[in-house]
Amino acid sequence: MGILVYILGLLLSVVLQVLLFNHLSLFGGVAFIYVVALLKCPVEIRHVVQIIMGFLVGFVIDIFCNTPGMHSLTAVSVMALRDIILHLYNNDPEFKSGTVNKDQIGTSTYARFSLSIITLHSILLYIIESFTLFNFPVLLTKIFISVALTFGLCMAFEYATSKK
Amino acid sequence: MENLIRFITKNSPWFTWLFLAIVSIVLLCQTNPYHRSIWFSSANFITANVYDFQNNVTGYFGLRQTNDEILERTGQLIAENQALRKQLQQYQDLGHYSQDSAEYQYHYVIAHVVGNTINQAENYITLDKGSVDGIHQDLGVADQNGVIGIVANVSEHYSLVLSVLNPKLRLSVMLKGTESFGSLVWDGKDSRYANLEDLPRNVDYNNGDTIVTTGYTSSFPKDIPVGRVVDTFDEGGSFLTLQIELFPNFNRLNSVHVIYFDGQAERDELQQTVEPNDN
Repeated sequence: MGILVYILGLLLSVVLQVLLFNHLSLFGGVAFIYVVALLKCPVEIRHVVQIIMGFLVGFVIDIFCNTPGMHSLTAVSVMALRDIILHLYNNDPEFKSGTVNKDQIGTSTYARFSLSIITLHSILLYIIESFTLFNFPVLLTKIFISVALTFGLCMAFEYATSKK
Repeated sequence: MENLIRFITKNSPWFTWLFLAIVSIVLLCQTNPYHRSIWFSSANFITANVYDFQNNVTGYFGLRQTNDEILERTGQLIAENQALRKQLQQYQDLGHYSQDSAEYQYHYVIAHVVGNTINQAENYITLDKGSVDGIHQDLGVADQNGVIGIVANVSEHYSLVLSVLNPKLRLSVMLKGTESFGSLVWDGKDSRYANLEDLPRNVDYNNGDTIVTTGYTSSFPKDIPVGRVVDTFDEGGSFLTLQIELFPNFNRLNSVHVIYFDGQAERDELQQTVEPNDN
């Protein structure tokens, strides 16, 4: 049941991303709501399945954005590393199932975890987009703005859906 | 095999990631022209450097053949040059085009130097072609830079060439573009220089002028390069001696032309009826 809800949520995030958030760009930086959805993936799903899901989500976004390969590469890398980063920050052995949210692992842990994943994603994405580092200030600006917007969105969503 | 399967299943997330990442990259590079161009140009940068290095190494392996090919081509060009000059000369002399002027006069055989000395009092060069290849005594020998010597002796498969660096050889040479001629003799001192003797005093010349064969000896056709003027020795008298820097590098002789041309034998015989064969 939880997984089904999650998958619906994932689809919704993809739709919102391509219809709404892709057009709200500030100095070239975009808020990535699909990343937020991805990092909340339930931990009981097998890692391999998580990775494949990430690839599919990225692939769908690519189809809409006409950037074949770009988002799928970053999404799949994010999903591959998410597990490790989660265990890096969260040593709670009781957290075995359910989606990742601040109620389960604590606000500060969640904040650190989500910030890491979001930063990683943005860096990867914009480097792939430019494929070179030739215009470094522009690259940094985009990364910074994207991270800020996405992280803001993430925490806002978190507080909005918190059960407390 | 079991261990391999176990390894793969244990690390299956990473293999999945790797596979999907490769798929994404392929998609990226194949369909996006910008990424494709960057990929290809950076790939080209790497591959170009690797191929460059390989070429630098293997380029040396074909040098002997390349040298032979160059010499072949040079020979053809000299032959054409000779024929064209003769044609031009006839045209200028007679005022009309002459039918039989298009024959090549200049023939050559490519030979390789198998023996050479430069520091003895009398130096000889050994070539790997002999009488079976059509070489006989008194043929001129030159390489792509200039005159090397004259064939002194021939066996079936080898020839001995009297090098320019041999005082026994007196070559009839002239200043290019003029009709003033003299004799080129080696003085035994430096393998890079020889002397042009018996040049009349009234001749106008400068350092750097080219010295070429006159064509008066039957060994060489006209205008084969020999060297360039670098200095003058004035010992009084009515003749000057010039120091000539020789064009060929006698240290590094490799492949040469042995030259013969039409009418050579005939000229030889005719000259011998009135004077001893003195080159």
